[in-house]
Amino acid sequence: MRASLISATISIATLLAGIAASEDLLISGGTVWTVSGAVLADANVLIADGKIAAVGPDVSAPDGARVIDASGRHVVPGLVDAHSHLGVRVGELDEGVTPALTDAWALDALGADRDALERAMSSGVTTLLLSPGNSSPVAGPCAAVKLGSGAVLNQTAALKLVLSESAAWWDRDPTSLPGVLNLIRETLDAIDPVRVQIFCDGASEVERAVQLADQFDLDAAVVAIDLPTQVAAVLSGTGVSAIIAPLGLTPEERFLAGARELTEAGVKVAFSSMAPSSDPHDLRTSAALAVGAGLSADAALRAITLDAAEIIGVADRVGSIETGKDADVAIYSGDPLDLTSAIELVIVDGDIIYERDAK
Amino acid sequence: MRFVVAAALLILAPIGWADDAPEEPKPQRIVAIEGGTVLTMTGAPVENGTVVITDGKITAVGVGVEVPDGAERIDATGKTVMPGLIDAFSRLYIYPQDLSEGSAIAADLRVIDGIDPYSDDGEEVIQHGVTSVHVLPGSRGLIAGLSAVVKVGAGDGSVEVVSDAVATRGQIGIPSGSSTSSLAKLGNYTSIREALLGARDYQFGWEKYERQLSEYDRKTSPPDEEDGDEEEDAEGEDVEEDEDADEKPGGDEKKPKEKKPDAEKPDRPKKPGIDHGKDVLVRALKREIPLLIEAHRVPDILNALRLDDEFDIDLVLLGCSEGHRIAAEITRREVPVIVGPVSLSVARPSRIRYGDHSRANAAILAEAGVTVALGVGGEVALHSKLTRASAAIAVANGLSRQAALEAITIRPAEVLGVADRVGSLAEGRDADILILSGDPLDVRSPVDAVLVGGEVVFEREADG
Repeated sequence: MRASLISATISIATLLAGIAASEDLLISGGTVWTVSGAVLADANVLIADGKIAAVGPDVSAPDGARVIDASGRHVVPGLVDAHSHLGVRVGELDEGVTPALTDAWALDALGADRDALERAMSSGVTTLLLSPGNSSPVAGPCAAVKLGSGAVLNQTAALKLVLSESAAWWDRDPTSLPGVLNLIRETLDAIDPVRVQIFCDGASEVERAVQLADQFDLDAAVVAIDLPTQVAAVLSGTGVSAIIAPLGLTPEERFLAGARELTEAGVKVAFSSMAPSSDPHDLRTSAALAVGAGLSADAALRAITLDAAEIIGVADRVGSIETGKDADVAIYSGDPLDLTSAIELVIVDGDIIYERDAK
Repeated sequence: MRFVVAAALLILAPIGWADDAPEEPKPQRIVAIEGGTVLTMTGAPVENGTVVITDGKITAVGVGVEVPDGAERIDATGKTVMPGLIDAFSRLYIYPQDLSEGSAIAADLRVIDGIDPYSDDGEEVIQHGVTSVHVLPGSRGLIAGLSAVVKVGAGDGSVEVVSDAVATRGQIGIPSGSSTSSLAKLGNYTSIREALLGARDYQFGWEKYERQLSEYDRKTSPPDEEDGDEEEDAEGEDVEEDEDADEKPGGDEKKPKEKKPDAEKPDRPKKPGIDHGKDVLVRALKREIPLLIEAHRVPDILNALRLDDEFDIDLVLLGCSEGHRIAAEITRREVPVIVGPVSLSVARPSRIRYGDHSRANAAILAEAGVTVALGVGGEVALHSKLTRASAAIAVANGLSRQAALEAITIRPAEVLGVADRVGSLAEGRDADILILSGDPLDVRSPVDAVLVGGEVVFEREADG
């Protein structure tokens, strides 16, 4: 059942992908934002077998490779959306009646809203963490998936835990925050997730999330819509990362400045679309607004690429333009964090999944 | 001369005559912004330009403009000077519950009556360069009332109203609750059409009454046949005044001698009732104010355009998410569009409401020749701070930079009928001005200073 849904996703993707996966590609002459290293002016990126084969000014195209001229343009890693519900029918990720769902895969719901998945292909986002909703204390495994190819990087990239009020129901246990925490602790006694994302409402919940991460030695990130200002101090030095809600949804000045405060406190930060709450196209709007509120451009780009990939545990595959990584790149008409820059081409695993002129 | 008057006042004031003394004219407050690249939005950018402000109004713009002695000087060398931005689709100062008036046709509701002048949201919005917002009544009714343009202020209890009756706002095909069927949408169109027909009948009723009244007055007032033609013409105005006086008892000396038999006297025409809602719609029918219709999907936009065809109103389309699919239809009728939301991230995601929404909508409409203003169209007051971001996103999707800047300054000012006050830097306009170090469309580069009415209302602290 699960396999058939995934293959359905893949077949749409193949339909949209213009070219065969096996063709070698050379993206030549662009300004390459490797993210893992320096910004390379006038450099080439060679893609073979869906992977980045070489990066640098002197890389040349092998015979038969297709060359994409990116001179005057910017070559950027595919963006990573650290928390999303994209492509799922609203409500299908909220199995709230059952409070602990260690085996209810968010992935099983993917593909119901194909239209949303198709629309997102032009956003520059290529990897997203598909998360269950916030109705159960143990809401289930989140999957790291790719747009376009529909490839699953990790079916159980993180276990989603929910400390917000939405997890406590009046007509089933647990009905209160202590009950929620009890259930989470029982679950973590029984299973040992590789990574958790903990959804919180306010500062006190963030503190409890930090306690949980410490007690169970978890690789943890807190996710919050209303990240309170004092969170930077709470998270500083704990090793717990922060996943920030889309800034278009939280336009208060204190939220716009939140990413800067967290980064300055040494906390690793990722932005998220929380789609469908916001449009994946605005993942980079979040990063640009944060720069306007004082975040460094470098940190802002990392928060939607490599740092986001690290937070969701897929940095060995995506998040930067480096030899050996998946060939997930996009070509922009200008600086990727200048919102006037257009996204001209998006490539996932070496396949073009979106081309602006073709539209 | 002035000194003399001032001296006299000083002497007189202590003995209590100050109230009767002629008021000393306040000295003019003059501010000059010098050295910047001035984007007037009415012409080409002025390099190394000067903007002179006198008592809150712009009094000169150009190169080498003389700055009067004693003016406060603001150095904008190397910076961009441009008009304050306008969010043409805002919720600033409005509580959501005040947008939910459910009456189907309530053309005379005034959004201005729902404004909270003590809201401090404006303080945050103004930092992002937005100095005026177009606030609209809600989208639950079919004709929801009069929209307004207000200045963005500091929440100190005073909100400067630029216009409290910009347009009356209707909507077609906006789902409220479960009524999202195509039949319900058709009902929207039909109901608005019927409201306009009703208003036209009402207008005709009043016009007929006025005709009959003047006929009645003519018949019941003394004829001037005995007098010569010349004299009649010369006294035309006086005769009319006499007619008015005629209604008052004993107001006319001529009356007794021209008294007609009661049988011949016509009945006084019956005065129609007053309906304030219809009055507003009549203003729209007379093109005194636009009829603003929010419509997003193609059939709903087409229905709005049908209203324009039938009633020859000044239609302004709001939202218009699927406008990109029928740009030629809109261009043909020269209907301006307030495109918004540009990004659905600020709105509850709803394909039912927005249909085939495209971030390229503004670009496609502008390309087709439509007058395009941008509105953030956000759900909360603070979304207005995304005005620059909305314009930038439109540029990334094909709108020219110039058109994008115009779409958040002069175009909304024109479409909303407030271009004599805001939206451009020209003599006589309010001195609502931004000073920026970087690209006005790059949200990473913050606004350095904002002036409203010539006062510096925001100034960014220097880094470090």
